[in-house]
Amino acid sequence: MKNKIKVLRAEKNWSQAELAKELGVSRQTVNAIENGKYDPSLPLAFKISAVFKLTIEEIFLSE
Amino acid sequence: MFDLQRIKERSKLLRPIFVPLILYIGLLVFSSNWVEGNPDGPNNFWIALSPMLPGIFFGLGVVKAISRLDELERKIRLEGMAFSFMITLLLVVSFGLVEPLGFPRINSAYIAGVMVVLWLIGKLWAMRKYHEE
Repeated sequence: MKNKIKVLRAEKNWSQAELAKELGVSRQTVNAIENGKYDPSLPLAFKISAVFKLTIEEIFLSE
Repeated sequence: MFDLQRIKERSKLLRPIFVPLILYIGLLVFSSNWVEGNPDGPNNFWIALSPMLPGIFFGLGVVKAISRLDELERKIRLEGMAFSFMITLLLVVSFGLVEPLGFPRINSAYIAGVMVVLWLIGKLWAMRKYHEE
């Protein structure tokens, strides 16, 4: 699954570590999600959408 | 990147696992040698079982550490465990099949050590899969 997290994070000038802290996960997890290596669970996807104030559909794109 | 904070957090998280594990291995070697050297010792039952005391703390440490991980880290550990379980099963069954051919009997207590080493290998393999950039 593709996502726009890297772009959204860059817009906010956040590092992966800062976003990871916001989400309560490790930096490695943020990195894996950004690179499409790992698809987050629904609760984590909701957390991501809340952090960026966007809907899940606006962040995650099905391939 | 060298992340000192992460290393500190990791070592704090892993201490309840590795301290009992080292004690387990030490007591396992000691108790095995003791029981072999003193086959009629009066306290052999308790000495032989002594590695299980740190073994219990090892188990509790693993459960505690896993519950503190985030979802991807937990998935990585779980895949490592699945890898370890399957390889250990294959090794033990293979050894069981060749034992009647004259191969030496293996001490079942050492299987735990093999499982832990394989778990670490499995974890590294799973980490590569998810953390590769």
